[in-house]
Amino acid sequence: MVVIDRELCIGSATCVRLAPAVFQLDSSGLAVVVDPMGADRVTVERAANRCPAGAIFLDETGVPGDEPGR
Amino acid sequence: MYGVEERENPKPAAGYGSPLRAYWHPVAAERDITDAPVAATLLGERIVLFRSRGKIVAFKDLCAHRGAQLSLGHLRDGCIVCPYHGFTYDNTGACIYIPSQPKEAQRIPARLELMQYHCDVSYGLVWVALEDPVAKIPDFPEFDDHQYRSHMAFRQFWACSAARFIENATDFSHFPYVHPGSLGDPEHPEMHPFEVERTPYGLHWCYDAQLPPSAGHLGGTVAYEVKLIFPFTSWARADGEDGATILFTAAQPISGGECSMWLLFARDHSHDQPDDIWTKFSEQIWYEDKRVVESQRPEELPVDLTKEVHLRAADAGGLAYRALLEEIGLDYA
Repeated sequence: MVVIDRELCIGSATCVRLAPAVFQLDSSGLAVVVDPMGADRVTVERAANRCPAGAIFLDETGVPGDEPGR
Repeated sequence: MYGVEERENPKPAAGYGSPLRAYWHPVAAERDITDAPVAATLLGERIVLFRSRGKIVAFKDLCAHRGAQLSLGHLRDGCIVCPYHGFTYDNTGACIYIPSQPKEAQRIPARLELMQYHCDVSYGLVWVALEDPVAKIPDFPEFDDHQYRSHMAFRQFWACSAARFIENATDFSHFPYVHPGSLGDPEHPEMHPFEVERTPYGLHWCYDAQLPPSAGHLGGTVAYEVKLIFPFTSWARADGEDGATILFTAAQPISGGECSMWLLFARDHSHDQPDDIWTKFSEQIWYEDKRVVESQRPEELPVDLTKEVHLRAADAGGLAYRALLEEIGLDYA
């Protein structure tokens, strides 16, 4: 599961450049997940690790956390 | 293939080819340029300053003959004399005398001249641009405004880049931790979102802060207005109960990991009070900042956002600043 904490997102679009099939910016300029299966896990992990706001959370169990970012 | 490139040859702020060479930077206090050459370093380049016929001039600190450092020499009749073989250059950089040749039969080689830089004086500071400047000397109109009392507080040398320095000078969220009880209230560290506006000179924003009662002469609620004058100057106006106080802070980029800061004040209140009150208070504040900022690694500010972690509200100024640095082609500053 891929979760974006939109309170943390700064709209740098780093994730969009790294994995455009998974991430896009919405009309407010913040990232959203459009297809969590749009890229392989290595690519998505790389996007999460390079996010300058640390706003992308990957849940190992496939179940999103109740409070992303906590 | 990834969408974000790893940069194998990062472009630093200092050195030849740096876009920062085309901006004005403070290098000395005007009052320190008297009857001897003065050395300064700007963006890794050694420069020499001297006063000639009432005007301060700046050249590369290198004799065209054997590369000796001219600032080790002396002045004679408004000309600079090399300490090595006595080659003498006028205030245009032209060599006018070679002591080893007969005085009445001087043959000056065509290439024997100094590289001259743009040099001007404002607010008691000598400013130099190593290349044709793309922007003017940062504005500080209050310094010469008779409604304000102005003074130069001090100069300090910091072991960090000028960009690290100026980001700290315009950052508010560190106040409760670095300046508890003076500028920041540890009981109220939260930052509310604020808008950063891009301007022809750089960036502009306003922020209202509640200072702790122990903040002394600043007291109560302070309305800050900040102009980050690109690349390394901060004009910050603090409107408090007493009136308006302007802090003009300009950093001289010496090298990638060193800078020198100059702090000037202008205030429209308390004209009967000694300037030293503001100087002493700021010395303590900057001392508190210095130990933390000098600990930052890398010493140069990474422009690539992925090298650090950024918060949308508190770091809005720093994020916009990195965008400006990126636009002139820097990877580190």
